[in-house]
Amino acid sequence: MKILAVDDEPLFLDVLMQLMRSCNYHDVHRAGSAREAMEIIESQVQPFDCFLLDVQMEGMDGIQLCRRIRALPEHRLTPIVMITAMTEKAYVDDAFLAGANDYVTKPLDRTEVKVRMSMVKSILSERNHVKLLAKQIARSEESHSAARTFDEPLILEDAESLTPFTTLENYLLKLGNMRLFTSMAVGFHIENGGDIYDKSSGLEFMDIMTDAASAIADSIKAENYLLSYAGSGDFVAIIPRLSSFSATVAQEQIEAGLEEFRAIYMEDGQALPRIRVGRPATTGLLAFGDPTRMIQDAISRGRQGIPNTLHSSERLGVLGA
Amino acid sequence: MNLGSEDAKPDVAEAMAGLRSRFIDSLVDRILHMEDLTSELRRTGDYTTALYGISASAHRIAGVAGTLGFGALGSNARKLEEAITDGLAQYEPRETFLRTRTQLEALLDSLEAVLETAP
Repeated sequence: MKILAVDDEPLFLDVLMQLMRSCNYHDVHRAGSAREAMEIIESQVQPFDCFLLDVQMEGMDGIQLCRRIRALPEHRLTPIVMITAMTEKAYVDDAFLAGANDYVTKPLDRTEVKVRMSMVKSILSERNHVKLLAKQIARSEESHSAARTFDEPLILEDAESLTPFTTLENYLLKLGNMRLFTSMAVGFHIENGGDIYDKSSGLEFMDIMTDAASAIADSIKAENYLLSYAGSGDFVAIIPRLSSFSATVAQEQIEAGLEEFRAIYMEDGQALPRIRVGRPATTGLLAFGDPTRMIQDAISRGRQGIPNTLHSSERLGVLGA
Repeated sequence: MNLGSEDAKPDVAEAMAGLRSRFIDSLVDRILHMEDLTSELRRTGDYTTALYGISASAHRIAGVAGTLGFGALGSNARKLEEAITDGLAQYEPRETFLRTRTQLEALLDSLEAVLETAP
């Protein structure tokens, strides 16, 4: 795995590189600033497989660098791990929103680094799976069913608003209960996702999911949110609890958004995705369970949709868990 | 740093020992840099530049020290960095400097303590 580590403290880079070597990562390059990092990245023939970025650097900081790297087409899906002090958790939201997949805290702990690098490997494996799938599709539009099952999370390369599902889980695991309390999860379920999958080729299925992702993203009226495809026709969004999100309004907007594609879908003989929006799932302030349970709750609620009998205030407002 | 049992390998332990020595060797320069910044501050009255410089210096020490096993030093550096960041968010630079002098002294003491106990 070819890795670029960026930190403006040379000695810390030495420590990090030694640590990576001890974890059997030997192809680690280094940059002492964000500017140098960009020069190195742009000069590579063989792109990097992973980036380790210090959050706080003089000049362009790690979050700005993360955003710049994500803007490069070849690195839209490359794993980015931020390196931060425990006390810089305020930056974590910004880092995830800039496209980071995870973060590791200083002082570095070898066990934690190994765990984070396992996550990197799983993202790379997912990304390679998508590339393989694309190649297989190019060879035969029929091959997708053998390559991927309907229930797997999917990275949709053309859906700019989507983040990998593992990143969404990482984000919740890192938030901590207090900050988890300030977020809510919303599930979006494609009712006819299974039918679409059965009747379409791999490429068509990914295109339809990308259209669905775009309609869902447009319906989320929040500045800061993360949206992922969880597999089985389920999308999950993490949205600030204080945003003005309304499941009912979102449902209407998604339907209106997809309606614009109806003629194209009919021409192609494809069914338009029918999307249910679930009631927001939240967690209690003193709930100390698995934070990712909120995702599962959201998926369940997405599959149920908005009950017709729900009181109007509940249909529009933020609900308790 | 928690190296775990696998890191008992002589080459890894040796490399880390070398990095610890280099860190200790760098401490004199780091102390002098912070003292230069405070002297410059007294001369020019530019509290903002000095505070950002001291904070950046503390940030770098904090990142490396804890990872190399100098926990107390890392903790004092982090406290100073936080105090400066919080102070600048609430007070004027001069007031922030006055309020964070104790943490600065504590960090300088920690740096000197590491130097004194170094082999």
